[in-house]
Amino acid sequence: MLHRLNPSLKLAGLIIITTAILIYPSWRFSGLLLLLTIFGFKASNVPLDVSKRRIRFLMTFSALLFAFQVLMTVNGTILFFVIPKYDFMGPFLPVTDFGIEKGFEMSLRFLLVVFSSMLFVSVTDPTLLAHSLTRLRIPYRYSFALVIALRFLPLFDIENKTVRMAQRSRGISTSVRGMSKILRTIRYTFFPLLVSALSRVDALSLSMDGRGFGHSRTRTYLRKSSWTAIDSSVLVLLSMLLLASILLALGFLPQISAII
Amino acid sequence: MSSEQKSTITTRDIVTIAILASLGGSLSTFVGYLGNLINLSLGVPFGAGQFMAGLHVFWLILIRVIVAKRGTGTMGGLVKGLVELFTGSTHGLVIVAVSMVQGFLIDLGAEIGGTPHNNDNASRLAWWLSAGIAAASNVFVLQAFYFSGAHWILLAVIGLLAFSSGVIFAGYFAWETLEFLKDSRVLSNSFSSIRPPTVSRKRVTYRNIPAIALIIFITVGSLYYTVAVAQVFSDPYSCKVTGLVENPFTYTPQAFVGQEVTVQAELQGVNIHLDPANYTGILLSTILEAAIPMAETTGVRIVARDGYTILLDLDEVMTDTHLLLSEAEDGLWLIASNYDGALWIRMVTTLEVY
Repeated sequence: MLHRLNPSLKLAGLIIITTAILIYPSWRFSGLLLLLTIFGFKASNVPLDVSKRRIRFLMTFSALLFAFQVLMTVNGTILFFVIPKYDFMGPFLPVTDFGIEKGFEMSLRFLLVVFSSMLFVSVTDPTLLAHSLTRLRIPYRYSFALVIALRFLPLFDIENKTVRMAQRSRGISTSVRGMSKILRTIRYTFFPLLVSALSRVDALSLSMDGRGFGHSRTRTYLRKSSWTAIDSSVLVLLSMLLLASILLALGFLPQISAII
Repeated sequence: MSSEQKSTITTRDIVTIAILASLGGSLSTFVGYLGNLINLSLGVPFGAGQFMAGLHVFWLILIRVIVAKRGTGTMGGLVKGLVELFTGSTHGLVIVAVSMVQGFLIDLGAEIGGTPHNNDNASRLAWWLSAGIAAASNVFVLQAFYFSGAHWILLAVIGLLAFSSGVIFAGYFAWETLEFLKDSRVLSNSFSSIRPPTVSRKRVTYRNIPAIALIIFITVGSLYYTVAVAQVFSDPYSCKVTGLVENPFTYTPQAFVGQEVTVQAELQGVNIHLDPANYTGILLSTILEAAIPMAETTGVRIVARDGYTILLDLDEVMTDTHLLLSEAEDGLWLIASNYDGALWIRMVTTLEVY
């Protein structure tokens, strides 16, 4: 279902969710939105374990964020000490209820931002996104920059492999031990890639100019994004979410803020 | 402003920005992963990977120098951030904000530094410094989203690391790259070379001495500032008295000399107990009296540096002779002997009457 939504609406949704949890930074609110995001993965048939290594990395990183917040926060009701009292030493590193709350707040916020971004990327076609941005009166010449940038990615991937193989055949190995070796590695891999990339600029821009790119204020598209009644309904829901976060932050919804 | 900056963006400019942003975005995602892996391996959530922060800004500097037009830094930052988002950055949408802010700061630096064609050392300095500032900005943008409570000295040191990385990778190394691109004739209409056609190694070393001296000066100077000087401006032994009061002020114990009281108090928490001890400080009622609360006020909100907040009844506070702000090793402590241990607050920063 999310695949069919307007790309600009999905981008707006991503921005609204990120803004809402900054306005009302409650861990329960973040947790609720995270559950909705995971439901979004399910509803869109996007497998969350598509890259298990990345998910594991994100979970480890969020656990580290949690631990950092817990140990940095000294106020609140002390639940226990990480290093208990021993003889005349300690206790050290108190763990408080407020610290745990802040830990959840930060780690869930991190997971929410990253997972909602992953969902957005999974269900959004960049070409349709560029088209929908032009419908928001962003000049197509600028929105097309995103399309070019994304279309060149596979090419750069192939060229990167070619450059590395070429350097290896010359006996140049990549190493990051020490600043001089980092700079050397960067020089031997970045420079050929950069020259290769920039040498395409003239050919591509001349080709685009030759086809009349930028000549007219409007242009035609092979594939277009559309705006439906469902998009309008989702926009209303997202606006309500943003409004609710503002009202919660200002304390106008005390009954709800007691729960989330 | 140069005539070049006035002209509109051509198709060639758009393609240049897109291609550099594409290459930079895809490599920045990899660099970001590498930085996060370094953080994880050292067991810290952020900071350690900042020595590579300049590599993210490197591409934006290239974009802004090659397409020397106002706003191309910000546009490059936006496109690069979106490429990072689509290639799986671990920061999600936030990376777009980080990258855009970096591009904007480079645009600002370009306004000061002017066109880099004129081989002017002052111009180069402005460009390199803006590269450093742009690299350091990621620390503070990410702090706003994901972290809180990190000590400002820690942030300053990490920011300094990122700044140095920006000066090295996005300043010095970017200039080397631009020289290389000029030499390889890829750059046809911008960035005139600042070095003579043949330069000896000794001359190169000599030429870099001012830049190295500058980085050392900024590093040592900033460290001295954060550790020794800035402490004065961010006094942990002060707190704001605000809200519905006629005389809002910043409380410091020095302003209340002679009004100290000593109370014996015992912290009785759920899981912690501190034996009775003597605490000396200024009564909260004395501090609030000096602020003159307005007639309709009912309570006081006490906020700590880590965001911990408690609410107390104003009438009870004004009559409590055992509720005081005392100086401890990490700042002002609220000693609340008549209350639960959870209301003993460390590092108090604000007293807000409502």
